[in-house]
Amino acid sequence: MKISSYLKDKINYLLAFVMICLIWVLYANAMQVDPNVIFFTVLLFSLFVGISFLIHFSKKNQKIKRLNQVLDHLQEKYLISEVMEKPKRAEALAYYKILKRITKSMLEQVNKTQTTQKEYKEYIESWVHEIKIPITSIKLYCENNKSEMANKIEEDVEEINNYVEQVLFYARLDQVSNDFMIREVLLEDVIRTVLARNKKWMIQNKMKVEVDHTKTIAYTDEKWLIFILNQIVINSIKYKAEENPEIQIRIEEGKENVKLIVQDNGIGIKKSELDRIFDKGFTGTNGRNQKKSTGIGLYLCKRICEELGMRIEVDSVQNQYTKMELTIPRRKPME
Amino acid sequence: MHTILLVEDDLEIREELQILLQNRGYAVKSISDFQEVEKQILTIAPDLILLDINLPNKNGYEICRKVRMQSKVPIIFVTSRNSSLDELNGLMLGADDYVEKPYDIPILLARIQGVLNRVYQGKKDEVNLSYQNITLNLLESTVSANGKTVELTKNELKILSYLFQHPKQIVSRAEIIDYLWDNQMYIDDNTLSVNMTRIREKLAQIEIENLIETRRGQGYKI
Repeated sequence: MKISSYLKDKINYLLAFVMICLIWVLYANAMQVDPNVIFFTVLLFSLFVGISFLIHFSKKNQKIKRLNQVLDHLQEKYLISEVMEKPKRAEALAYYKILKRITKSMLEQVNKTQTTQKEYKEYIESWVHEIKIPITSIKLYCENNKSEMANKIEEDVEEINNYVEQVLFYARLDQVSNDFMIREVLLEDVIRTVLARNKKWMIQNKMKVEVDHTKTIAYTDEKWLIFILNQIVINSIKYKAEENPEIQIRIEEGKENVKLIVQDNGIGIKKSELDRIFDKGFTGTNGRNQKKSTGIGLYLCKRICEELGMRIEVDSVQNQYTKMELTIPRRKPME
Repeated sequence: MHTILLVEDDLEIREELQILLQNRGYAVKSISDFQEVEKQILTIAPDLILLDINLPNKNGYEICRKVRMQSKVPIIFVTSRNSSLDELNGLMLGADDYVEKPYDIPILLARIQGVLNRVYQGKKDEVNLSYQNITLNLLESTVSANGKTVELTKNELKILSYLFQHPKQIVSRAEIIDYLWDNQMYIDDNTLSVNMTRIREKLAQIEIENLIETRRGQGYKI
Protein backbone atom coordinates (compact mmCIF):
# COMPACT_ATOMS: atom_id res chain seq x y z
CA MET A 1 0.00 0.00 0.00
CA LYS A 2 1.36 3.39 -0.99
CA ILE A 3 1.06 6.34 1.34
CA SER A 4 -0.56 8.41 -1.40
CA SER A 5 -3.35 5.88 -1.90
CA TYR A 6 -3.73 5.61 1.86
CA LEU A 7 -4.17 9.36 2.11
CA LYS A 8 -6.61 9.27 -0.74
CA ASP A 9 -8.69 6.79 1.27
CA LYS A 10 -8.55 9.16 4.23
CA ILE A 11 -9.48 12.25 2.23
CA ASN A 12 -12.66 12.81 4.29
CA TYR A 13 -10.71 13.00 7.51
CA LEU A 14 -8.13 15.28 5.94
CA LEU A 15 -10.83 17.63 4.66
CA ALA A 16 -12.50 17.63 8.06
CA PHE A 17 -9.18 18.47 9.66
CA VAL A 18 -8.56 21.37 7.24
CA MET A 19 -12.09 22.64 7.93
CA ILE A 20 -11.56 22.53 11.70
CA CYS A 21 -8.28 24.37 11.31
CA LEU A 22 -9.93 27.00 9.11
CA ILE A 23 -12.83 27.53 11.54
CA TRP A 24 -10.40 27.82 14.42
CA VAL A 25 -8.25 30.35 12.55
CA LEU A 26 -11.29 32.45 11.62
CA TYR A 27 -12.71 32.25 15.13
CA ALA A 28 -9.41 33.03 16.83
CA ASN A 29 -8.81 35.89 14.44
CA ALA A 30 -12.22 37.36 15.26
CA MET A 31 -11.37 37.01 18.94
CA GLN A 32 -8.18 38.97 18.27
CA VAL A 33 -5.93 36.18 19.47
CA ASP A 34 -2.26 36.79 18.91
CA PRO A 35 -1.43 35.48 15.35
CA ASN A 36 1.65 33.74 16.74
CA VAL A 37 -0.54 31.77 19.12
CA ILE A 38 -2.94 30.88 16.26
CA PHE A 39 -0.07 29.73 14.07
CA PHE A 40 1.43 27.74 16.94
CA THR A 41 -1.82 25.96 17.83
CA VAL A 42 -2.49 25.07 14.17
CA LEU A 43 1.05 23.70 13.85
CA LEU A 44 0.70 21.64 17.01
CA PHE A 45 -2.66 20.28 15.89
CA SER A 46 -1.33 19.39 12.41
CA LEU A 47 1.65 17.64 13.92
CA PHE A 48 -0.56 15.63 16.20
CA VAL A 49 -2.94 14.61 13.39
CA GLY A 50 -0.06 13.92 10.99
CA ILE A 51 1.75 11.63 13.41
CA SER A 52 -1.34 9.67 14.29
CA PHE A 53 -2.05 9.19 10.56
CA LEU A 54 1.51 7.95 10.06
CA ILE A 55 1.28 5.49 12.93
CA HIS A 56 -2.03 4.24 11.64
CA PHE A 57 -0.62 3.88 8.13
CA SER A 58 2.44 1.91 9.18
CA LYS A 59 0.36 -0.39 11.36
CA LYS A 60 -2.03 -1.10 8.50
CA ASN A 61 0.83 -1.56 6.13
CA GLN A 62 2.55 -4.05 8.38
CA LYS A 63 -0.62 -6.02 8.74
CA ILE A 64 -0.98 -6.27 4.96
CA LYS A 65 2.66 -7.24 4.60
CA ARG A 66 2.29 -9.99 7.18
CA LEU A 67 -0.78 -11.32 5.43
CA ASN A 68 1.09 -11.34 2.11
CA GLN A 69 3.94 -13.22 3.69
CA VAL A 70 1.62 -15.88 5.01
CA LEU A 71 0.06 -16.06 1.58
CA ASP A 72 3.45 -16.48 -0.07
CA HIS A 73 4.25 -19.46 2.07
CA LEU A 74 0.86 -21.04 1.60
CA GLN A 75 0.70 -23.76 -1.04
CA GLU A 76 -3.04 -23.56 -1.48
CA LYS A 77 -3.50 -19.83 -1.36
CA TYR A 78 -7.25 -20.04 -1.35
CA LEU A 79 -7.06 -21.33 2.22
CA ILE A 80 -5.86 -17.94 3.52
CA SER A 81 -9.00 -17.27 5.52
CA GLU A 82 -8.30 -20.44 7.51
CA VAL A 83 -4.84 -19.29 8.51
CA MET A 84 -5.12 -15.53 8.92
CA GLU A 85 -5.74 -14.09 12.38
CA LYS A 86 -9.23 -13.10 13.14
CA PRO A 87 -9.56 -9.31 13.02
CA LYS A 88 -10.98 -7.41 15.99
CA ARG A 89 -12.44 -4.34 14.34
CA ALA A 90 -16.08 -4.55 13.34
CA GLU A 91 -15.64 -3.66 9.67
CA ALA A 92 -12.66 -5.96 9.17
CA LEU A 93 -14.55 -8.73 10.93
CA ALA A 94 -17.42 -8.36 8.50
CA TYR A 95 -15.05 -8.66 5.53
CA TYR A 96 -13.37 -11.61 7.22
CA LYS A 97 -16.70 -13.38 7.50
CA ILE A 98 -17.45 -12.71 3.85
CA LEU A 99 -14.06 -14.11 2.90
CA LYS A 100 -14.80 -17.23 4.90
CA ARG A 101 -18.07 -17.76 3.13
CA ILE A 102 -16.37 -17.33 -0.24
CA THR A 103 -13.67 -19.83 0.69
CA LYS A 104 -16.21 -22.32 1.87
CA SER A 105 -18.20 -22.14 -1.32
CA MET A 106 -15.06 -22.45 -3.43
CA LEU A 107 -13.82 -25.42 -1.43
CA GLU A 108 -17.10 -27.12 -2.09
CA GLN A 109 -16.66 -26.48 -5.80
CA VAL A 110 -13.08 -27.71 -5.78
CA ASN A 111 -14.07 -30.84 -3.90
CA LYS A 112 -16.89 -31.52 -6.28
CA THR A 113 -14.61 -31.15 -9.28
CA GLN A 114 -11.96 -33.32 -7.71
CA THR A 115 -14.44 -36.05 -6.93
CA THR A 116 -15.87 -35.92 -10.44
CA GLN A 117 -12.40 -36.08 -11.90
CA LYS A 118 -11.38 -38.94 -9.67
CA GLU A 119 -14.49 -40.88 -10.52
CA TYR A 120 -13.95 -40.22 -14.20
CA LYS A 121 -10.37 -41.42 -13.95
CA GLU A 122 -11.46 -44.55 -12.13
CA TYR A 123 -14.06 -45.14 -14.79
CA ILE A 124 -11.43 -44.77 -17.53
CA GLU A 125 -9.16 -47.20 -15.70
CA SER A 126 -11.84 -49.82 -15.33
CA TRP A 127 -13.04 -49.27 -18.89
CA VAL A 128 -9.51 -49.86 -20.14
CA HIS A 129 -9.26 -53.08 -18.14
CA GLU A 130 -12.59 -54.26 -19.54
CA ILE A 131 -11.73 -53.46 -23.15
CA LYS A 132 -8.44 -55.31 -22.82
CA ILE A 133 -10.27 -58.58 -22.30
CA PRO A 134 -11.93 -58.70 -25.74
CA ILE A 135 -8.72 -57.36 -27.29
CA THR A 136 -6.89 -60.29 -25.74
CA SER A 137 -9.38 -62.81 -27.04
CA ILE A 138 -9.33 -61.32 -30.56
CA LYS A 139 -5.55 -61.67 -30.59
CA LEU A 140 -5.89 -65.28 -29.51
CA TYR A 141 -8.50 -66.00 -32.20
CA CYS A 142 -6.16 -64.58 -34.82
CA GLU A 143 -3.23 -66.64 -33.58
CA ASN A 144 -5.29 -69.83 -33.54
CA ASN A 145 -6.84 -69.22 -36.95
CA LYS A 146 -3.97 -67.93 -39.03
CA SER A 147 -4.86 -66.44 -42.37
CA GLU A 148 -4.30 -63.29 -44.33
CA MET A 149 -7.52 -61.90 -42.91
CA ALA A 150 -6.43 -62.75 -39.37
CA ASN A 151 -3.20 -60.86 -39.98
CA LYS A 152 -5.11 -57.77 -41.02
CA ILE A 153 -7.45 -58.01 -38.05
CA GLU A 154 -4.51 -58.42 -35.73
CA GLU A 155 -2.87 -55.36 -37.19
CA ASP A 156 -5.98 -53.29 -36.55
CA VAL A 157 -6.48 -54.68 -33.07
CA GLU A 158 -2.96 -53.65 -32.24
CA GLU A 159 -3.77 -50.14 -33.39
CA ILE A 160 -6.84 -50.13 -31.15
CA ASN A 161 -4.69 -51.37 -28.31
CA ASN A 162 -2.23 -48.54 -28.84
CA TYR A 163 -4.96 -45.94 -28.60
CA VAL A 164 -6.38 -47.63 -25.52
CA GLU A 165 -2.97 -47.53 -23.88
CA GLN A 166 -2.68 -43.86 -24.68
CA VAL A 167 -5.95 -43.16 -22.91
CA LEU A 168 -4.84 -45.09 -19.85
CA PHE A 169 -1.46 -43.44 -19.62
CA TYR A 170 -2.95 -40.01 -20.20
CA ALA A 171 -5.39 -40.59 -17.36
CA ARG A 172 -2.54 -41.67 -15.11
CA LEU A 173 -0.19 -38.88 -16.04
CA ASP A 174 -0.58 -36.83 -12.88
CA GLN A 175 0.10 -39.89 -10.75
CA VAL A 176 3.17 -41.13 -12.59
CA SER A 177 5.15 -40.60 -9.42
CA ASN A 178 2.90 -43.06 -7.54
CA ASP A 179 2.86 -45.60 -10.28
CA PHE A 180 6.37 -46.53 -11.07
CA MET A 181 8.75 -49.14 -9.90
CA ILE A 182 12.36 -48.35 -10.76
CA ARG A 183 14.37 -51.50 -11.16
CA GLU A 184 16.77 -53.32 -13.43
CA VAL A 185 15.41 -53.43 -16.93
CA LEU A 186 17.00 -55.44 -19.71
CA LEU A 187 16.66 -53.08 -22.66
CA GLU A 188 16.59 -55.99 -25.07
CA ASP A 189 13.34 -57.20 -23.46
CA VAL A 190 11.76 -53.78 -23.87
CA ILE A 191 12.75 -53.61 -27.53
CA ARG A 192 11.49 -57.13 -28.06
CA THR A 193 8.11 -56.36 -26.53
CA VAL A 194 7.65 -53.23 -28.61
CA LEU A 195 8.64 -54.93 -31.86
CA ALA A 196 6.38 -57.88 -31.06
CA ARG A 197 3.47 -55.50 -30.65
CA ASN A 198 4.02 -53.85 -33.97
CA LYS A 199 5.13 -56.97 -35.80
CA LYS A 200 2.19 -57.35 -38.18
CA TRP A 201 2.09 -53.70 -39.04
CA MET A 202 5.82 -53.53 -39.70
CA ILE A 203 5.90 -56.69 -41.80
CA GLN A 204 2.93 -55.44 -43.79
CA ASN A 205 4.83 -52.22 -44.46
CA LYS A 206 7.95 -54.17 -45.41
CA MET A 207 10.01 -52.46 -42.76
CA LYS A 208 13.54 -53.54 -42.16
CA VAL A 209 14.63 -53.48 -38.56
CA GLU A 210 18.11 -53.51 -37.17
CA VAL A 211 18.52 -54.08 -33.48
CA ASP A 212 21.56 -54.02 -31.25
CA HIS A 213 21.57 -57.24 -29.30
CA THR A 214 23.34 -56.31 -26.10
CA LYS A 215 22.62 -57.30 -22.55
CA THR A 216 22.49 -53.66 -21.45
CA ILE A 217 20.69 -52.92 -18.24
CA ALA A 218 19.17 -49.61 -17.22
CA TYR A 219 17.30 -48.46 -14.15
CA THR A 220 13.81 -47.32 -14.93
CA ASP A 221 10.20 -48.44 -14.94
CA GLU A 222 9.72 -51.10 -17.58
CA LYS A 223 6.05 -50.45 -18.24
CA TRP A 224 6.46 -46.73 -18.87
CA LEU A 225 9.61 -47.28 -20.95
CA ILE A 226 7.74 -49.75 -23.13
CA PHE A 227 5.02 -47.16 -23.60
CA ILE A 228 7.53 -44.48 -24.64
CA LEU A 229 9.48 -46.70 -27.00
CA ASN A 230 6.24 -47.93 -28.50
CA GLN A 231 5.10 -44.38 -29.28
CA ILE A 232 8.45 -43.66 -30.95
CA VAL A 233 8.38 -46.83 -33.03
CA ILE A 234 4.75 -46.19 -34.05
CA ASN A 235 5.78 -42.77 -35.34
CA SER A 236 8.62 -44.30 -37.31
CA ILE A 237 6.16 -46.65 -38.98
CA LYS A 238 3.54 -43.98 -39.58
CA TYR A 239 6.00 -41.61 -41.17
CA LYS A 240 8.14 -44.15 -42.97
CA ALA A 241 9.99 -43.74 -46.26
CA GLU A 242 8.15 -44.82 -49.41
CA GLU A 243 11.03 -47.04 -50.49
CA ASN A 244 13.04 -49.42 -48.33
CA PRO A 245 11.75 -48.21 -45.00
CA GLU A 246 14.10 -48.99 -42.18
CA ILE A 247 14.39 -48.59 -38.41
CA GLN A 248 17.54 -48.93 -36.39
CA ILE A 249 17.40 -49.39 -32.64
CA ARG A 250 20.76 -48.83 -31.04
CA ILE A 251 22.04 -48.84 -27.51
CA GLU A 252 24.95 -46.67 -26.43
CA GLU A 253 26.36 -47.18 -22.97
CA GLY A 254 27.72 -44.15 -21.17
CA LYS A 255 29.14 -43.85 -17.70
CA GLU A 256 26.03 -42.69 -15.88
CA ASN A 257 23.42 -43.22 -18.56
CA VAL A 258 22.38 -45.48 -21.36
CA LYS A 259 21.15 -44.09 -24.63
CA LEU A 260 18.40 -45.88 -26.46
CA ILE A 261 18.35 -44.53 -29.99
CA VAL A 262 15.67 -45.09 -32.58
CA GLN A 263 16.57 -43.87 -36.02
CA ASP A 264 14.46 -44.28 -39.14
CA ASN A 265 14.95 -43.25 -42.74
CA GLY A 266 11.46 -41.78 -42.94
CA ILE A 267 9.99 -38.49 -44.08
CA GLY A 268 11.52 -36.59 -41.16
CA ILE A 269 10.33 -33.45 -39.43
CA LYS A 270 10.52 -29.84 -40.63
CA LYS A 271 13.25 -27.92 -38.88
CA SER A 272 10.79 -25.22 -37.84
CA GLU A 273 8.60 -27.82 -36.14
CA LEU A 274 11.30 -29.74 -34.27
CA ASP A 275 10.98 -27.68 -31.11
CA ARG A 276 7.27 -28.19 -30.88
CA ILE A 277 6.76 -31.90 -31.49
CA PHE A 278 6.62 -32.61 -27.76
CA ASP A 279 3.94 -29.98 -27.20
CA LYS A 280 0.46 -31.14 -26.30
CA GLY A 281 -1.84 -31.20 -29.28
CA PHE A 282 0.87 -30.34 -31.80
CA THR A 283 0.34 -32.35 -34.96
CA GLY A 284 2.62 -30.60 -37.42
CA THR A 285 2.68 -30.89 -41.19
CA ASN A 286 3.24 -34.66 -41.12
CA GLY A 287 0.38 -35.29 -38.73
CA ARG A 288 -2.03 -33.15 -40.72
CA ASN A 289 -1.10 -34.81 -43.99
CA GLN A 290 -1.72 -38.27 -42.61
CA LYS A 291 -4.78 -37.21 -40.60
CA LYS A 292 -3.86 -39.80 -38.02
CA SER A 293 -2.16 -37.75 -35.41
CA THR A 294 -3.60 -36.79 -32.05
CA GLY A 295 -0.65 -34.74 -30.90
CA ILE A 296 -0.71 -36.62 -27.63
CA GLY A 297 1.81 -39.45 -28.03
CA LEU A 298 5.06 -37.50 -27.90
CA TYR A 299 3.66 -35.10 -25.34
CA LEU A 300 3.04 -38.07 -23.05
CA CYS A 301 6.55 -39.37 -23.74
CA LYS A 302 8.09 -36.09 -22.73
CA ARG A 303 6.03 -35.79 -19.56
CA ILE A 304 6.76 -39.37 -18.50
CA CYS A 305 10.48 -38.87 -19.17
CA GLU A 306 10.47 -35.85 -16.90
CA GLU A 307 8.79 -37.80 -14.13
CA LEU A 308 11.16 -40.75 -14.47
CA GLY A 309 14.37 -38.73 -14.67
CA MET A 310 14.96 -39.59 -18.30
CA ARG A 311 15.57 -37.35 -21.29
CA ILE A 312 14.07 -37.48 -24.75
CA GLU A 313 15.67 -35.63 -27.64
CA VAL A 314 14.95 -35.45 -31.31
CA ASP A 315 17.06 -34.81 -34.35
CA SER A 316 15.75 -34.90 -37.88
CA VAL A 317 16.39 -33.85 -41.45
CA GLN A 318 13.34 -33.70 -43.67
CA ASN A 319 13.09 -36.56 -46.16
CA GLN A 320 16.17 -38.19 -44.69
CA TYR A 321 15.77 -39.39 -41.14
CA THR A 322 14.35 -38.91 -37.66
CA LYS A 323 16.43 -39.83 -34.68
CA MET A 324 14.91 -40.11 -31.21
CA GLU A 325 17.28 -40.43 -28.33
CA LEU A 326 16.24 -41.62 -24.87
CA THR A 327 18.70 -41.12 -22.06
CA ILE A 328 18.09 -43.54 -19.20
CA PRO A 329 19.95 -43.77 -15.88
CA ARG A 330 22.34 -46.69 -15.63
CA ARG A 331 22.57 -46.86 -11.90
CA LYS A 332 20.13 -47.38 -9.12
CA PRO A 333 18.90 -44.04 -7.84
CA MET A 334 20.07 -43.20 -4.31
CA GLU A 335 17.64 -44.39 -1.71
CA MET B 1 4.90 -82.84 -21.42
CA HIS B 2 4.14 -80.08 -18.91
CA THR B 3 0.64 -79.47 -17.66
CA ILE B 4 -0.51 -75.87 -17.53
CA LEU B 5 -3.54 -74.88 -15.52
CA LEU B 6 -5.61 -71.87 -16.61
CA VAL B 7 -7.37 -69.91 -13.91
CA GLU B 8 -9.26 -67.45 -16.06
CA ASP B 9 -12.91 -66.49 -15.81
CA ASP B 10 -13.38 -65.19 -19.35
CA LEU B 11 -14.70 -68.14 -21.32
CA GLU B 12 -13.42 -67.04 -24.75
CA ILE B 13 -9.91 -66.36 -23.55
CA ARG B 14 -9.88 -69.63 -21.66
CA GLU B 15 -10.90 -71.66 -24.68
CA GLU B 16 -8.60 -69.94 -27.13
CA LEU B 17 -5.66 -70.05 -24.76
CA GLN B 18 -6.28 -73.74 -24.28
CA ILE B 19 -6.15 -74.33 -28.06
CA LEU B 20 -3.03 -72.19 -28.36
CA LEU B 21 -1.13 -73.96 -25.63
CA GLN B 22 -2.22 -77.40 -26.79
CA ASN B 23 -0.95 -76.55 -30.27
CA ARG B 24 2.39 -75.73 -28.70
CA GLY B 25 2.59 -79.11 -27.08
CA TYR B 26 1.41 -78.47 -23.55
CA ALA B 27 -1.24 -80.37 -21.68
CA VAL B 28 -3.84 -77.84 -20.58
CA LYS B 29 -6.42 -77.94 -17.83
CA SER B 30 -8.68 -75.16 -16.67
CA ILE B 31 -10.81 -74.13 -13.77
CA SER B 32 -14.44 -73.46 -14.60
CA ASP B 33 -15.97 -73.47 -11.15
CA PHE B 34 -14.58 -70.67 -9.07
CA GLN B 35 -15.45 -72.10 -5.67
CA GLU B 36 -12.48 -73.24 -3.62
CA VAL B 37 -10.10 -72.72 -6.47
CA GLU B 38 -6.99 -73.38 -4.41
CA LYS B 39 -8.25 -76.84 -3.45
CA GLN B 40 -8.86 -77.68 -7.09
CA ILE B 41 -5.38 -76.40 -7.96
CA LEU B 42 -3.76 -78.63 -5.38
CA THR B 43 -5.73 -81.66 -6.60
CA ILE B 44 -4.84 -81.06 -10.24
CA ALA B 45 -1.19 -80.46 -9.30
CA PRO B 46 -0.15 -78.75 -12.54
CA ASP B 47 3.41 -77.85 -13.56
CA LEU B 48 2.51 -74.22 -14.06
CA ILE B 49 -0.47 -71.95 -13.33
CA LEU B 50 -1.62 -68.99 -15.40
CA LEU B 51 -3.58 -66.98 -12.87
CA ASP B 52 -5.90 -64.06 -13.56
CA ILE B 53 -6.40 -61.47 -10.82
CA ASN B 54 -9.99 -60.34 -11.25
CA LEU B 55 -11.94 -63.48 -10.55
CA PRO B 56 -15.35 -64.23 -9.12
CA ASN B 57 -15.31 -64.93 -5.37
CA LYS B 58 -11.66 -64.81 -4.39
CA ASN B 59 -9.20 -62.71 -6.37
CA GLY B 60 -5.98 -64.04 -7.81
CA TYR B 61 -3.80 -62.59 -5.06
CA GLU B 62 -5.64 -64.51 -2.38
CA ILE B 63 -5.55 -67.70 -4.39
CA CYS B 64 -1.83 -67.25 -4.95
CA ARG B 65 -1.22 -66.77 -1.23
CA LYS B 66 -3.27 -69.83 -0.29
CA VAL B 67 -1.55 -71.99 -2.89
CA ARG B 68 1.89 -70.77 -1.85
CA MET B 69 1.29 -71.96 1.69
CA GLN B 70 1.23 -75.52 0.43
CA SER B 71 2.95 -75.65 -2.93
CA LYS B 72 5.85 -74.19 -4.85
CA VAL B 73 4.19 -74.68 -8.22
CA PRO B 74 5.25 -71.87 -10.59
CA ILE B 75 2.61 -69.18 -11.00
CA ILE B 76 2.40 -66.52 -13.70
CA PHE B 77 -0.10 -63.73 -13.16
CA VAL B 78 -1.88 -62.84 -16.39
CA THR B 79 -4.01 -59.78 -15.94
CA SER B 80 -5.27 -56.57 -17.46
CA ARG B 81 -4.44 -54.73 -14.24
CA ASN B 82 -1.15 -53.09 -14.94
CA SER B 83 -0.31 -50.62 -12.22
CA SER B 84 3.05 -51.02 -10.53
CA LEU B 85 1.26 -51.76 -7.31
CA ASP B 86 -0.50 -54.75 -8.86
CA GLU B 87 2.74 -56.09 -10.23
CA LEU B 88 4.57 -55.58 -6.95
CA ASN B 89 1.73 -57.26 -5.10
CA GLY B 90 1.88 -60.25 -7.38
CA LEU B 91 5.61 -60.71 -7.10
CA MET B 92 5.59 -60.22 -3.32
CA LEU B 93 3.10 -63.06 -3.02
CA GLY B 94 5.59 -65.38 -4.63
CA ALA B 95 4.46 -65.39 -8.25
CA ASP B 96 7.19 -66.27 -10.74
CA ASP B 97 6.22 -63.77 -13.40
CA TYR B 98 3.66 -61.17 -14.31
CA VAL B 99 2.27 -60.75 -17.83
CA GLU B 100 -0.05 -57.99 -18.85
CA LYS B 101 -3.16 -58.42 -20.97
CA PRO B 102 -3.40 -58.06 -23.88
CA TYR B 103 -0.25 -60.06 -24.19
CA ASP B 104 1.76 -60.62 -27.31
CA ILE B 105 1.48 -64.32 -27.85
CA PRO B 106 5.15 -65.04 -28.61
CA ILE B 107 6.07 -63.15 -25.47
CA LEU B 108 3.56 -65.01 -23.33
CA LEU B 109 4.90 -68.29 -24.71
CA ALA B 110 8.48 -67.21 -24.07
CA ARG B 111 7.63 -66.29 -20.47
CA ILE B 112 5.94 -69.65 -19.92
CA GLN B 113 8.93 -71.45 -21.39
CA GLY B 114 11.29 -69.29 -19.35
CA VAL B 115 9.59 -70.12 -16.06
CA LEU B 116 9.36 -73.80 -16.93
CA ASN B 117 13.05 -73.92 -17.85
CA ARG B 118 13.99 -72.18 -14.65
CA VAL B 119 11.93 -74.43 -12.43
CA TYR B 120 12.29 -77.76 -14.18
CA GLN B 121 15.88 -77.71 -15.29
CA GLY B 122 17.36 -80.45 -17.39
CA LYS B 123 14.51 -80.87 -19.81
CA LYS B 124 15.79 -79.31 -22.99
CA ASP B 125 14.17 -78.86 -26.36
CA GLU B 126 14.85 -81.33 -29.10
CA VAL B 127 18.29 -80.69 -30.53
CA ASN B 128 17.76 -82.38 -33.87
CA LEU B 129 15.06 -82.17 -36.50
CA SER B 130 15.00 -84.57 -39.38
CA TYR B 131 13.17 -84.93 -42.63
CA GLN B 132 13.81 -87.85 -44.96
CA ASN B 133 17.56 -88.37 -44.77
CA ILE B 134 18.34 -84.79 -43.79
CA THR B 135 19.21 -83.82 -40.22
CA LEU B 136 19.11 -80.32 -38.83
CA ASN B 137 21.28 -79.84 -35.76
CA LEU B 138 19.83 -76.94 -33.82
CA LEU B 139 22.65 -76.64 -31.30
CA GLU B 140 25.48 -76.65 -33.80
CA SER B 141 23.48 -74.82 -36.45
CA THR B 142 24.29 -77.27 -39.21
CA VAL B 143 22.43 -79.37 -41.73
CA SER B 144 23.72 -82.74 -42.83
CA ALA B 145 22.88 -85.45 -45.35
CA ASN B 146 24.74 -88.00 -47.42
CA GLY B 147 27.59 -87.93 -44.94
CA LYS B 148 28.21 -84.24 -45.56
CA THR B 149 27.59 -81.29 -43.25
CA VAL B 150 27.27 -77.60 -43.94
CA GLU B 151 27.00 -74.69 -41.51
CA LEU B 152 23.99 -72.39 -41.43
CA THR B 153 23.55 -68.82 -40.25
CA LYS B 154 20.99 -68.03 -37.53
CA ASN B 155 18.39 -66.93 -40.07
CA GLU B 156 18.91 -69.91 -42.33
CA LEU B 157 18.67 -72.30 -39.40
CA LYS B 158 15.37 -70.83 -38.23
CA ILE B 159 13.87 -70.85 -41.71
CA LEU B 160 14.81 -74.47 -42.24
CA SER B 161 13.62 -75.51 -38.83
CA TYR B 162 10.24 -73.90 -39.48
CA LEU B 163 9.95 -75.82 -42.76
CA PHE B 164 11.03 -79.01 -41.01
CA GLN B 165 8.34 -78.50 -38.37
CA HIS B 166 5.72 -78.27 -41.12
CA PRO B 167 6.60 -81.05 -43.57
CA LYS B 168 4.37 -81.52 -46.63
CA GLN B 169 2.57 -78.26 -45.92
CA ILE B 170 2.68 -75.05 -47.85
CA VAL B 171 4.24 -72.41 -45.69
CA SER B 172 3.69 -68.82 -46.74
CA ARG B 173 6.44 -66.24 -46.84
CA ALA B 174 4.50 -64.13 -44.34
CA GLU B 175 4.35 -67.06 -41.94
CA ILE B 176 8.12 -67.56 -42.12
CA ILE B 177 8.80 -63.87 -41.60
CA ASP B 178 6.38 -63.88 -38.68
CA TYR B 179 8.17 -66.83 -37.12
CA LEU B 180 11.56 -65.18 -37.53
CA TRP B 181 10.30 -61.99 -35.91
CA ASP B 182 9.03 -64.02 -33.00
CA ASN B 183 12.60 -65.24 -32.63
CA GLN B 184 13.99 -61.74 -32.73
CA MET B 185 15.26 -61.86 -36.29
CA TYR B 186 13.65 -58.85 -37.84
CA ILE B 187 14.03 -59.56 -41.54
CA ASP B 188 12.06 -58.17 -44.46
CA ASP B 189 10.78 -59.79 -47.60
CA ASN B 190 13.94 -59.19 -49.67
CA THR B 191 16.17 -60.67 -46.99
CA LEU B 192 13.99 -63.77 -46.93
CA SER B 193 14.51 -64.26 -50.68
CA VAL B 194 18.26 -63.87 -50.25
CA ASN B 195 18.22 -66.38 -47.43
CA MET B 196 16.17 -68.90 -49.41
CA THR B 197 18.66 -68.73 -52.29
CA ARG B 198 21.54 -69.29 -49.90
CA ILE B 199 19.78 -72.22 -48.23
CA ARG B 200 19.30 -73.85 -51.64
CA GLU B 201 22.99 -73.34 -52.45
CA LYS B 202 24.03 -74.87 -49.16
CA LEU B 203 21.69 -77.84 -49.62
CA ALA B 204 23.23 -78.38 -53.04
CA GLN B 205 26.62 -78.59 -51.34
CA ILE B 206 25.40 -81.64 -49.42
CA GLU B 207 23.86 -83.09 -52.58
CA ILE B 208 20.24 -82.24 -51.77
CA GLU B 209 18.48 -80.79 -54.77
CA ASN B 210 14.90 -79.62 -55.07
CA LEU B 211 14.05 -80.17 -51.42
CA ILE B 212 12.26 -76.88 -51.13
CA GLU B 213 9.50 -76.41 -53.63
CA THR B 214 8.41 -72.89 -54.47
CA ARG B 215 4.68 -72.45 -54.93
CA ARG B 216 4.12 -69.21 -56.78
CA GLY B 217 2.06 -66.79 -54.76
CA GLN B 218 1.63 -69.30 -51.99
CA GLY B 219 4.96 -70.01 -50.39
CA TYR B 220 7.28 -72.93 -49.88
CA LYS B 221 6.88 -76.62 -49.24
CA ILE B 222 9.13 -79.52 -48.38
